[in-house]
Amino acid sequence: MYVFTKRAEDKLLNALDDTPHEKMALFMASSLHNDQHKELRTDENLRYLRRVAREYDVRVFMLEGGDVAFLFTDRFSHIWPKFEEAFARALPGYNPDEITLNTLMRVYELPQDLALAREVITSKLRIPLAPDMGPLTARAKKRIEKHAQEEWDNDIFTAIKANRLTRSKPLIAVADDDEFILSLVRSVLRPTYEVITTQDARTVLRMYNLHAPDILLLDIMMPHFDGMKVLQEIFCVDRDAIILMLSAHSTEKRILEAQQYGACGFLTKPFKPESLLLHIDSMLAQRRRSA
Amino acid sequence: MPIDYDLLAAKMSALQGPYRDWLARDVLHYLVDAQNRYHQPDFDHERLFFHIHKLKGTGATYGFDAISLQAAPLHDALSDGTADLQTIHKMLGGLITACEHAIHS
Repeated sequence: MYVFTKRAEDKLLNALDDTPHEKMALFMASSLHNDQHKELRTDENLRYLRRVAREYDVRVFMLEGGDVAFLFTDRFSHIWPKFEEAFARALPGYNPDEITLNTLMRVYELPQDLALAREVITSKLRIPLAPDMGPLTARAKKRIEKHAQEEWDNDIFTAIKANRLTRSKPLIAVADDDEFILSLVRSVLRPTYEVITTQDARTVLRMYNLHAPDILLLDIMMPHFDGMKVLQEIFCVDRDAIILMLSAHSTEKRILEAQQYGACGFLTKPFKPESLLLHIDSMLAQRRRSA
Repeated sequence: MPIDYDLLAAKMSALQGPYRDWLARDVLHYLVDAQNRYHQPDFDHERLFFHIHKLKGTGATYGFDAISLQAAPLHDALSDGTADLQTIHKMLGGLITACEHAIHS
């Protein structure tokens, strides 16, 4: 069980990476705490946050005094140590040995009721609910605004995903830094399929969230970009994602790694256009079966 | 869905023009220059690797198999850094020839 406090926030912002669940946690903690984002503290937003939290298997408790508690389930066990470390640095009184998530999950079923949740946290778990509120740094504000936009995009994504089956043509998204690969894919796949492309690795996740493509072709090696990491992030927001990895380095280890992360195939560059069409055909059949 | 090979061939033919132009405009002279200057201490190895990587990944896809075939061993040699200057020089020569053939095909 981790309690986000205003005091800890800036330090946490520096300590955490930008994986989707962390972004979500930061956004929720920040927006609900921040005096300058009072307009975000509405019942509607809280319902929205709880809905997103359910999707991520994170339980959210809004506590009196502006504190927000997050309960991360087993699905995110790999990030616990990072959170523990960050909290140990940010909150001097925090003792990760005293309370572990596993213990908490086993022993307590924390109530969604604000007063009860507060009582459990303060009396049974003896975690201080830090009260002092300092101003957010400019950097934190900037990040919050960015994350807020992305989270709302995720909400839109859920709606778009529901419309996948009603599209007149399947939508194929392609992320590759090589313009020649992109123009070939566009030319070969159009007009049978709708095709959207990006050369900028930083926009892959955003493109995916905005359009919910039926298939994503993802180059594993783009500048400043870890294709495997993006693969994992996409599966965090869309468990039904169908992703074909593209790479000029198709070692057995790399292929296995991609498959373990959920990629449905691997197309080695250079590839023949016929081979691309066959892969697309097979993946769309998979999409139809899963629907 | 069955593949329409005639349509595919027509599309590929249209795509090959710009690819040839790129080879002639941006690649060929660079490779010749790289072959001459590879041994120099200020040579940008990263830039060479970028070009070779791109040629390996796109050559055969655009119908110029020889380019990918020549670029692949050079790509490996540059990756692991084991090849000597003479070998790199020879490999670059093979790739230059493949590019010239593609441009004039």
